[in-house]
Amino acid sequence: MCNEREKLIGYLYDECDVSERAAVQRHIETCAECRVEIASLRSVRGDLAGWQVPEHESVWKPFVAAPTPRWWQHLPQWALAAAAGIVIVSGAAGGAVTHAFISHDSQSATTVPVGATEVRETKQLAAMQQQIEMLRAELAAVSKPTQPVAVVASTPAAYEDSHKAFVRELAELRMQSERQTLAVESLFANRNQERKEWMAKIAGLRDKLDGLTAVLETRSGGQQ
Amino acid sequence: MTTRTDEELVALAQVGDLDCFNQLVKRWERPIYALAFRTLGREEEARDVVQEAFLRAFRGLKGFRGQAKFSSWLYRITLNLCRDWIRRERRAPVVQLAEGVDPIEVADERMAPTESVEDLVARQEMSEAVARAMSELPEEQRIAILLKEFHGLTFQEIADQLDCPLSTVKTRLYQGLSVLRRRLERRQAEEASLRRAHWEGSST
Repeated sequence: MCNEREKLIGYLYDECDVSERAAVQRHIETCAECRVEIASLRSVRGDLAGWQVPEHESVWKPFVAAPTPRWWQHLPQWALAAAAGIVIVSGAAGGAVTHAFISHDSQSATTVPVGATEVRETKQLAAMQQQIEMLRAELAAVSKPTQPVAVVASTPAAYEDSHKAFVRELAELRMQSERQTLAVESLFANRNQERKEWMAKIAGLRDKLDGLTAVLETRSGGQQ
Repeated sequence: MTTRTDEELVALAQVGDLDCFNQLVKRWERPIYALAFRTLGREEEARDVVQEAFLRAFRGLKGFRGQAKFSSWLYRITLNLCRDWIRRERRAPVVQLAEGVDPIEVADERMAPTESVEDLVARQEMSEAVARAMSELPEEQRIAILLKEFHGLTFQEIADQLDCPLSTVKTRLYQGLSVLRRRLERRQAEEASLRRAHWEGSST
């Protein structure tokens, strides 16, 4: 037993099975050397408990989730362009149809108020584009790198201080970078779903346009 | 409101709940700082290690499959960072003594209600003596003692952290504690001798 440190350590930390514990207990009752050993190990554990850690402020700046943008705030440029094109063409076609209906059948014209809807949507699109530009500007501002720390070191101590400042700055930049990555991920999290919704809207508008074009063609055919 | 377990917070953080990750940091920052500080002996470097450890944990969170406890994973990241720092700087841990601080001045802030100034000074001196003795231990013994004494890991968990057999952990603990005991006893003997010399000097 006197040479079996593992058993004494297991007993000291109470991390042994019951039979082993009983065996060590019986042994130290008869072995003065091991009794002293256990007592002094317990004493050093008591001393260790007095090892203080200085108080410190939290070093962690909590992550903040980016605000969830509205669906149109992160549409790709091509979708906007396509949508704008369709809306303008639809608006024009709607206007032409309305004109045709008003010219030839004023009662029917009131049943197809397409032009007004498209004008509203065009305004909505303009607002969307403005929002996108604002968002871009925000992202650019966030992505702008901070000024590097000026390193002016005339003595070894000053050099060490500036080195530490640089390392801290670097850590801060890394944190910023993590946050930016997170913001971008958050921005595009629902992109696919929203793109599908937008594509469905475009498809609906296209159908409407096809219908209107067909009506227009029939009318012009009828007139001829 | 029930407190969420680490596993629940990790699962939510993995699917993008940032607040859950913040909660994990809040829960573990103090023990992680204590481990880094006691391993390195330097406050500023310990703070850097803590920040880096949580950043690494955040980056690696999606790959964390719960094969170990979150805290064990965090301890491993922290210890690796501490080891990297020690190797990079080729420095042993130091004992940071409070510079230019009069213990009596700070006594009001730090003293337990029933503690005298003498007790406070003795407590600080003991803390520094333990820190010094620990800083002189071989790294693996020191870390085994830290994980056992201050973080309550089991022998098996320490073996997993240090990638060594269970019996090696027990040996390291035993050897480390024995060396510590001898150093602290020597220090106490030196102090007693100084006090005696001082008393004899002043009485003549």
